[in-house]
Amino acid sequence: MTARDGRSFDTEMDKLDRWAEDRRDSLKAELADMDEALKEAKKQARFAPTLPEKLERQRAARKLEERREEAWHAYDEASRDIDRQKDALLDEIGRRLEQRVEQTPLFTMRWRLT
Amino acid sequence: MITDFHAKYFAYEITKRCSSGSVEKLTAVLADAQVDLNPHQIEAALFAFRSPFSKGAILADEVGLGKTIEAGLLLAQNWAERKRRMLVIVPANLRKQWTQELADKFYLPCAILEARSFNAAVRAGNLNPFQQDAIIVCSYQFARSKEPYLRQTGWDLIVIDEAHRLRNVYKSSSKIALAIKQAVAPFPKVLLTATPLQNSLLELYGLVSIIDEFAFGDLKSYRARFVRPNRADDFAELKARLRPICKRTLRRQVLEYVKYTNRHALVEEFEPSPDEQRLYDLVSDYLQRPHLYALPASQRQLVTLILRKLLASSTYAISGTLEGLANRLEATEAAASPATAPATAPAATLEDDLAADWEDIDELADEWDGDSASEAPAEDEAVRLTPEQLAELRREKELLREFCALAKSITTNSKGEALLKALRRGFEVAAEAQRSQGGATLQQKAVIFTESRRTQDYLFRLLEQTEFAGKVMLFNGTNNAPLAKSIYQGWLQQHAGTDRISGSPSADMRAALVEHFRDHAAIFIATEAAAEGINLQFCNLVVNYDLPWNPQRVEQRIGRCHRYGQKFDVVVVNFLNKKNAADVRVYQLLDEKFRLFDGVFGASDEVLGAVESGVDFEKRIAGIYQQCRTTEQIQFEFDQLQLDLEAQISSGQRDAREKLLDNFDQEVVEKVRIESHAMLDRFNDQLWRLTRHVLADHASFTDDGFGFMLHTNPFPGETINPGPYRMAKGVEDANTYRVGHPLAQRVLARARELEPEPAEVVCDYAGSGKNIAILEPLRGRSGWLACAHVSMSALESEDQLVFAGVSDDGEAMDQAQCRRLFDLPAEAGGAAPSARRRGGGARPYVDGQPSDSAHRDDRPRRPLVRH
Repeated sequence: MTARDGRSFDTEMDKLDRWAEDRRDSLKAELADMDEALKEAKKQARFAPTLPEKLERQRAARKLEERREEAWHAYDEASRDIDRQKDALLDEIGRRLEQRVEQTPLFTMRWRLT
Repeated sequence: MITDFHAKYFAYEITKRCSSGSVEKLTAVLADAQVDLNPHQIEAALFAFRSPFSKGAILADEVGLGKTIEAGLLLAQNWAERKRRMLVIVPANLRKQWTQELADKFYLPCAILEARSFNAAVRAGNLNPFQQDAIIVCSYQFARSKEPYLRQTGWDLIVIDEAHRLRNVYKSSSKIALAIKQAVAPFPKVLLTATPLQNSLLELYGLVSIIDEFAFGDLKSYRARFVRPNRADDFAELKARLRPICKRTLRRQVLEYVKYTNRHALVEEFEPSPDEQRLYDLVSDYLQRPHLYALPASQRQLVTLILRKLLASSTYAISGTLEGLANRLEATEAAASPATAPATAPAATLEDDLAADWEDIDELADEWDGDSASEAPAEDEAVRLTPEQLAELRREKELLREFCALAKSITTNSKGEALLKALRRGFEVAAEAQRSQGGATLQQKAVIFTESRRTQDYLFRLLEQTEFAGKVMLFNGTNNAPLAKSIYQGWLQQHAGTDRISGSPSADMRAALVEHFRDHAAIFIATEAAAEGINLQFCNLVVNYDLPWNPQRVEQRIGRCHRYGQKFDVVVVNFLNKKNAADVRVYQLLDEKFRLFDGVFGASDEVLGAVESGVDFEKRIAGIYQQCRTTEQIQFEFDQLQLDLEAQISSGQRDAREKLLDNFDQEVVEKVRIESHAMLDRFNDQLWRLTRHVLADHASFTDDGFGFMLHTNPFPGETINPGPYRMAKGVEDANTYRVGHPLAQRVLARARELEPEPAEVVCDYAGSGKNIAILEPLRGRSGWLACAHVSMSALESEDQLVFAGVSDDGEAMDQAQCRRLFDLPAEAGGAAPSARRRGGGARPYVDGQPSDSAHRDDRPRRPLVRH
């Protein structure tokens, strides 16, 4: 019984690990995209033809920067969220692993084989 | 012969809880099932909840491998464990079939929930009708509309059939799919589909996310990595992630367990008479008018479709309906006309009117409505009509009367005449199939499908004048003809006192009629709605008198006969009106593109799966009929439809599907086959021996056929059917004795309660005729044996029966030896040893050692437990 439960447990943990990996990958991809956009926005600002336009573009770049900052936080939060999920699963499994055994004697008899 | 010890032990064995990975877990359900289960089905059912963490599975076998049975096993297992909150979500036209199969094969009570039964239950005081002591079966649309009720029911298991309808759930536009996904999210579930992916690997993501949100991170990372897996290891990774969730078996992998037969098509062409053609053109033109008083705008599409189908069905079908429409207009006219006193509004709604002829209307409306919540049919006829409008209405009424008169004047239908020819041809080919496939006696049987009640009556009258007179019978939603009633009465008499009579008159009527067809009649004229879910595998000729446009419905019809248990090739007869360009094209699509009428499996998964729902296809065809006036237009539109269809079919990801989901393991399946056979034999043997023991004083047993009859009531004070009973599958002349039967349950409970005094049991090895190697060394010896029931609960609960045994000469017996000892016939060998000691009688000695001196203290000893 325990061997089989052990295997199921491994499968489940592996699944969560891969899930976490997936989530991190896509969060990172999102951050990379934003970095790219920010770089581009700053470049645009640098080459602005007029001052008002430069101001405008700088503001846009700042906004992007803020959004990126927020995304970092979100990423951080999500990472922690993933860890919490795993903890919760571990707790759940720990709880369910508590093994209880009950025993009831049914009968006792003498036998003779002919 | 056995003793109380045996009975008690067997009862505990039979009722013990097992771990979910083992074949043993399903043994009781397998023993109960009224169908021989194939090993791949057992394996699939075990697969779904093999891991105690499992949230469910996608069972994606090819068509024809019995996915319903796999799900039925799971439902039955839960039911046996007293987990009673179970839901089956299916397309509306499969609801009856599901309830019938679950009842017939697994003795599971089901309730179909739809607006009507739901409201009735609420009125009766059940505020959440999803909570009943039965398995709930409902349509996708209904599940969606009652989402809050679904959420607040603590489901033990949800089965979703034809789950490819949900495969676009990853798109935010799939409203129904998303709603269902969210409503069922917290519960264990099983998705059934033969086409888990059709157009894109994203669909697989969608389906898997319904089962388990944690199998893949999110859509974004899935898309980046798996949608076009370039690298071999990405592909391997995807496959590995799917492995614990998705199981697929192909037909070619199980050919040795399942036998398949072929399907052939026969086309009977006919030409309408000039009068028939005139009627067709007139009504068709009428239906194409932009505004009609007879057809309320809200139901225009649906009613138009039905009128067209009735028009194609028979002149009798259309004339009755036209008359109804004219009468309704008359009533409206009377109500609106200021001259007369306000007349009573038409009592019945248009839908009720149509439903009298077209039984399927509720279901069709359910399917066609889809997203719009079913609005109350507003009787807005009270709207005041201008005098001009009133005049128009009057003209429309007159027109309808003219059509009706014309239809009534046509008594000979060209298609009806063609039917006789088609039947004779069909019987010939069907008989040929039976002969070539080794049929012992020829069965001349045909089922004729029509969608209209009036057409059904017409066909009955028609065939009664031919050589088939006296062998024709009707099957429809009401079954109130005198013939049906007398068949029913006869059936009731024949089966009086047995479990065959369910007590539900409509279900019993259906069973009686199907049995009558099997044993006596030759031609079974069925309306499509009524025939849903019945099994006619003893008949191999299917006649589509009128043909549905929805390919899935056609497949359903043919599937009544071309199904598990059919021994011969099935012949499908269709009619084709050569004068009607659109009819010809529809037939061509169904035949050539969907391949409904030929081949081993009829419509292939690829193609049926390509149209997410056959209703959309049906709607599109209805649109073409409605808009096109010239043959050129018709041809153009159908070419267009065909192109679209081909695009859908060819982009099918057949390759990916095969490679990704193929995790079939011949060895595993073979092992399951052997294990399940052994388990079943043992299980049935124990149940039978225990029953004989417990009922010994109350029943007379027949040794040959595992039958018995009660002569006294073994459970005084309770109502027990005296029988006869027989333990076997497919029993017709007696009650089926099986572990789930109430009598067996009582017998088991009594055996569990036995408290046999310690006694000597003499096991007869020599006389058993059995050869059990591990018992050989114990022959001629004696000893002590104790049995305990051990229940363990960790991730799940499991019971085991543990023995401790020792021979009088001090040799310990192992578990297998103790267990096998109970396989032998035995009898109580006189008084208990303790009594015997006191009485000074002869005690068994082995090798000169008195048994009690060495082991007296062992007798009450607690068995050692190891696990």
